Amino acid sequence: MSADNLVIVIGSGTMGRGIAQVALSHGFRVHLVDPSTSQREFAHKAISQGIGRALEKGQVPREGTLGWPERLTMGPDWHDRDPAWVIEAIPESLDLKGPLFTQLDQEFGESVWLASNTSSIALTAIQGMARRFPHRVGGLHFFNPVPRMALVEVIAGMATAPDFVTAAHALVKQWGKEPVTVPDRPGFLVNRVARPYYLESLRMVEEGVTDFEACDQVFEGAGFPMGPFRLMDLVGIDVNFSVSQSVFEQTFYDPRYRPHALQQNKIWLGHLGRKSKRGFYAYE
Amino acid sequence: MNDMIAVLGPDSLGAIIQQHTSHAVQLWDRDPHPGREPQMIIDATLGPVSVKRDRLRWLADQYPQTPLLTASSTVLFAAQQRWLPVPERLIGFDPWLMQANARVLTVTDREDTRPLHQELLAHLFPDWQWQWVADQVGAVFARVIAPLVNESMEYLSMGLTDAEINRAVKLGLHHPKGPLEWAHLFGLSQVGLVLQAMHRSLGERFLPHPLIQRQMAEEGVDLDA
Repeated sequence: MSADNLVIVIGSGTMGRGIAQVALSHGFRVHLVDPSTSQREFAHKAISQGIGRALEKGQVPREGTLGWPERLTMGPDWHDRDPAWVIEAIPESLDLKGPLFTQLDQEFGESVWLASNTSSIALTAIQGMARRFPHRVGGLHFFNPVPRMALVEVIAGMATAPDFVTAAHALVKQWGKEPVTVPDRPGFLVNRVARPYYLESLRMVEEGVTDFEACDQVFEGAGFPMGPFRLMDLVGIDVNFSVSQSVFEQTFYDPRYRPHALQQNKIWLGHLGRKSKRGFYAYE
Repeated sequence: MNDMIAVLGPDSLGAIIQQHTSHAVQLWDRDPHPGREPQMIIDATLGPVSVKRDRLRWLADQYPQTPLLTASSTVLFAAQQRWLPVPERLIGFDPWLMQANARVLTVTDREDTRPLHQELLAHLFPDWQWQWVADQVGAVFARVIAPLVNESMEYLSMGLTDAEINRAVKLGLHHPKGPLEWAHLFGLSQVGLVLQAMHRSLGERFLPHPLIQRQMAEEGVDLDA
């Protein structure tokens, strides 16, 4: 296989298959890696439906999607392939990502860009696990749902080469998305700047300043598509909590990012938001 | 009593308030107009505290019948009540929601005067929804927006541009404005005043970023000035 436009995506969860769908919708070839056969089958179906829906709504150029099934391969590993990019989208844990990048660094030549879709782990920490060619490792932080969200944060770790940033911008633009280069700091830019939206709202509710429904009404009345509590329910209270926790720990426990007990309590009760039919609101 | 609503605050506020009331809105500068008793006086200024206190006292003295809607983002409503001989005329509010042209505005008052104030606000501004919140500096909107701006200052100091930061936040979070656009709308030093007040009242995490502190110093803006 030629390196021209082959992208290997590792992990076929929500983010991985979203990235694969976007690449396939813009003429790229994709090899999607996941050890689970059933997960790969599920991802194939989801990508097919996603591309179909996007075409119906005119969200992707028809010519970009032509022949996409022939451009998609899937398997439990990536051996004997020659990609331009490898994009990792496995669960958010340095214990998982670190060894993976050590392996990728060993197996792929220097000219292959290695990107992590981490949403909050320091790129330099991931890069530290790719000792052979750390300069070709960087971050491509896509947002959920990938096919609909335009922004991609491009992150350079301490050892990332400027060429990575240039190549990442070019790739992201080819996929119809908007890259912004952000510093390698906990939460990067968007997840960091977003923290007060959730955390101060949680604190106000705990302090009795307002209740969560009234708080949502205030922000929605000011043009925010969703108030903080409705949004936490959508994203997943557990997901939101883990981002706060990650930023809090990586900033050496800066009180600005201290996760809130109300979220922890909701998680203990299994009230995770829409996905569990109950979060701050109840869903039928 | 005159049919007019008097506004002390940023120039843009007069036009916004006028969209929500059939009464004439008059923007008063720092020297209010003696002799014309308005339907309501809206003091949207955030500080310095001593200036705000003196002005409220003067207004209460000059216009003894007029209800006063006062910004309570930087000084507790309870503290402002103590400045006045007839505290029940006072209603606290967050002027940033007005400036943001929001549908729902937050207000703070005493429980015994609430029915009267609800009626008055519904009469003067029939299409605004009013949300009653507890008396706390920053509550509710400014408590979130000011630290959001504060966070973004760090990225400015790292070399990102206003446009990059705004674009990332709007695309990544779908906020109606980027942090620097909020700062532009309210004024960076005014954001600093809210942060200063919250820093004192709510804790260390609201310490204004050095770039905001510098802007405040350059403009001579300070809660204690």
